[in-house]
Amino acid sequence: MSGLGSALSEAVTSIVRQPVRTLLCALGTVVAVGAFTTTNGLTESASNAVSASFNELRATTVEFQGPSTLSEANVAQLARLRGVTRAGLVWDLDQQQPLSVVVGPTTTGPSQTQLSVTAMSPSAFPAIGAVLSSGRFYDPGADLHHQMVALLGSGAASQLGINSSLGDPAINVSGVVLTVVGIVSSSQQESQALLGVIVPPYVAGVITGNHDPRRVIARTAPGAAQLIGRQGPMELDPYQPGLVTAEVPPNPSTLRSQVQASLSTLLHVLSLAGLGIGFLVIAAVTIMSVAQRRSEIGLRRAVGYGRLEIARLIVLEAAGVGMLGGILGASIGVLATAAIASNDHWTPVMNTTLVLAAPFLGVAVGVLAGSYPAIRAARITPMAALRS
Amino acid sequence: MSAAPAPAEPEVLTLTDVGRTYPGSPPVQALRDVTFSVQSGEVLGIIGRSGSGKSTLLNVLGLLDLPTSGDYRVEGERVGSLSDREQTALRARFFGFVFQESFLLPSLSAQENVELGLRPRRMAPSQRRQRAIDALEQVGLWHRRRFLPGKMSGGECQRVAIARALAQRPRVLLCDEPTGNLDERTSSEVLQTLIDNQPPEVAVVMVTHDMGIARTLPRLLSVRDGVVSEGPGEFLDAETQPGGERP
Repeated sequence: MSGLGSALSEAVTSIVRQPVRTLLCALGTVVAVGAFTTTNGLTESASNAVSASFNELRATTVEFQGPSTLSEANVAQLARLRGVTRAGLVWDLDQQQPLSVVVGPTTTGPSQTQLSVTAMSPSAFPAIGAVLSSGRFYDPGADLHHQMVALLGSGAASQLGINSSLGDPAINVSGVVLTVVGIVSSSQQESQALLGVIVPPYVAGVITGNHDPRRVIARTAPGAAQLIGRQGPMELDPYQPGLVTAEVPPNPSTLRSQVQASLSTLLHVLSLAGLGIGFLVIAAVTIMSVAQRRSEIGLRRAVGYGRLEIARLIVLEAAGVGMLGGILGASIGVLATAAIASNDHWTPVMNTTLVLAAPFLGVAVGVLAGSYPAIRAARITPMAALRS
Repeated sequence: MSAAPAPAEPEVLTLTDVGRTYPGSPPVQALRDVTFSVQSGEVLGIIGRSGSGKSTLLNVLGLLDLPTSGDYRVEGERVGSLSDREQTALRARFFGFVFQESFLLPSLSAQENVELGLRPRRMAPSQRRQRAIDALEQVGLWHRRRFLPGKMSGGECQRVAIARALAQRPRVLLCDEPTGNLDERTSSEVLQTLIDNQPPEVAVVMVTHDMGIARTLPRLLSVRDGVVSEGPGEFLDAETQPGGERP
């Protein structure tokens, strides 16, 4: 009987004229859509930040594992590949078994301690992003001239009580006396080395012999890591490339997808919980509203509203409330995302499709939540309603 | 119980052996074998004690409730054979209601409340608005058309309810104790409004317990234990005697 336009105008009138009931009813959707939008926004922003961070630190580093025969010459071959910016040789002496280290030239003393010893070619320092707090790095001449020198990681230096390389302090590593030329304070890669002693390849051979498997750390241009990972083994060991394995960083886009996938699982769980709460609140408030409006429903039935018109009115009101909740919730979600992201120095990233769809999500929740009360309202007989 | 014939006017409502029984243990027989008819333009009063079945009768007449036995026809159309949708359409087209309570929606203005009764009809909003304004003018409340019910007196609210029924331009106006909640002075004003504004072809059926009103009505039916009798029965006589029972 009554057209959809007339029903819509009635629903809008009912929503606007009873603001308290409308706001109470909309509260659930506001919370649900707000949580949904905020979670989505934070997920997007966090993914963006995490991916950028991974790109910067990890995406340009390739690590090769190979036999003890890998040498500086092989690393130089690798460094000639287009896309390789730096490369260096690294290996752990005695498979990272700690060696006896004493301050001074003697083999025993009060400061005797067990430390890991890592061999590094001079070209490895820029490759691992090592930073000195004192002294200098040893250079290629150290190996060439068989200089018995070492670097201490900051952790090892404080353990041995050496604060500075000034005065060239001496340490004794498994009976080999070395001069400390510098202290490494930080490293983007190989942070484990900061806990021990770092020596040139020649010194490593003197201490333990050259039997340990070796690693080559290569820094690449952005986007070249995957290719270098494939080509590197051939450059490092042309005769037996199968003995060299490459550990390449995950593809940045794959990584971003993985991060987003794991975060979006969280998003879906939280969003569904929020929407569930919104659904229940709208349904509960609408059921209460129908109970309170029995006489109104009775009157409408008396003056000629059919069951369908009554149900449609209730559903349209619930949908309108849902839409209002969706708009308010999305607005709050956008603001919350911007505030939290700014606070964490992230770039706020929002999925505009989702933000624009939020009001319609609210409508969907409202329609679903209003359906049951609408059916109940439509079943009320006019006589029973007018009596109440 | 036979209908008082009014030969010049056609019958709009016809009840033959109509009964209404509510299920329960034991079942309640609210109406028994009711037979009478209402002519176009007739003004008819229904009197009876509380719980006698007079409101049930009015509900059955207005298709708010359905008889469980007998035959009820509206302008010759058998009500029992109509679907719920058809009954609703017939109710909207044929009947206007004025209840003891005004049942105005508190969030709507007087004019919007009057328009509410016209919304189920396919009617242009401007036409609907004009009809509502005309009806409010008829009951003397045009100047209060933008007021919410909360800002109006009980008598004014009831006049708005009358305007709502008038705007529907029904063939039969059913009134259930329309002045039951009003004081004597307001009551007579409202009643006057109700009677004066009916076109001659509209039948008015009024349930009342007010014998003053009942006396003014040209035709009375009395209801006792679900049985309907033509005439005032014992009620008008009882009231005139000392200790007489009011319906």
